[in-house]
Amino acid sequence: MTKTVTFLVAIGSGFYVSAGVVTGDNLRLPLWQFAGCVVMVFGFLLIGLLRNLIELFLLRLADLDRAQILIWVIEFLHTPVRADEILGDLHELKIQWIQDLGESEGRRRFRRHACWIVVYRLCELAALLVSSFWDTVEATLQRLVTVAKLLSQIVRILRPVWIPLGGGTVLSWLTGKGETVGRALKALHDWSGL
Amino acid sequence: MKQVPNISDTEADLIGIVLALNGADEEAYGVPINAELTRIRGGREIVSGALYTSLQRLVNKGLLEAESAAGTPERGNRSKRLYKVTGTGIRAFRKWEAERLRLLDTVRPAWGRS
Repeated sequence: MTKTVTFLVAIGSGFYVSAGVVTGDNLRLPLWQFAGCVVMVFGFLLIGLLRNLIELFLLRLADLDRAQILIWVIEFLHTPVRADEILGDLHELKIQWIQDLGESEGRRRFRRHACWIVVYRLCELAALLVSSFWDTVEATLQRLVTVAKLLSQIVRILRPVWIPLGGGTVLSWLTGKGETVGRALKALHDWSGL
Repeated sequence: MKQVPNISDTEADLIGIVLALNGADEEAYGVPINAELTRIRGGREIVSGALYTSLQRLVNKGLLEAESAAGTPERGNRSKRLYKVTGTGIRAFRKWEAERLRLLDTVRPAWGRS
């Protein structure tokens, strides 16, 4: 049940963030962003797993202070101002929860909230990557269309030249009778009526 | 004249809560905003990360403004971000409220008949 809810909330928050929060305007796509996009394509399916992995590695296996690890992660993922805001609020809530719920349950709730903040931030960053990725794809396609149009114009302009020239050369090579390119060119030119 | 932006229900909740806290001369930052939001939603908690993202989005839209205040020992000496509703935020909230009132005016006669 927890896994299902985690999965659904992660997908929901991912889409929510993609839809409304993040606008990417970066048209370059460095390798790390591309890697992020690839991860993100499969990411929605893996976010539930991610939540469990964070819990597993940071909250269960680690011998360090679990909450401290989460604090480091939040500090790492946020700008200093936002990290201070979030961690200050969490600190305040921890004291309140410990008073209301007792030491063990209060700390557990604190860790759970911190864990969710980490997951949510990762969703935000992933959505930023996806947004940036699709902007890049769109810009690349637009450029390809422009190049294709340009090539099409060049081919159209050069058509009277390249058909006789290219055709004459090929004809000369194929016949192998010593015809000059110029004669083949003239023959082809007469034939094509250009 | 600048167009008044549309806001979602969640954004309206947050603007309303910040307005109420500002009006009561209380500090409007993450903890009281979260507590108030949970209270008006009948105890249903908002995902912690979503709250900060929503607040930041409102700041980016110019509906809220944020300023840093010094940290206190109960916050581990970490600073807090105090939010205030801007003029645009108030206009957006009033627009949202008027829409909701029109909806209620439409629905109430039907309730009377049923």
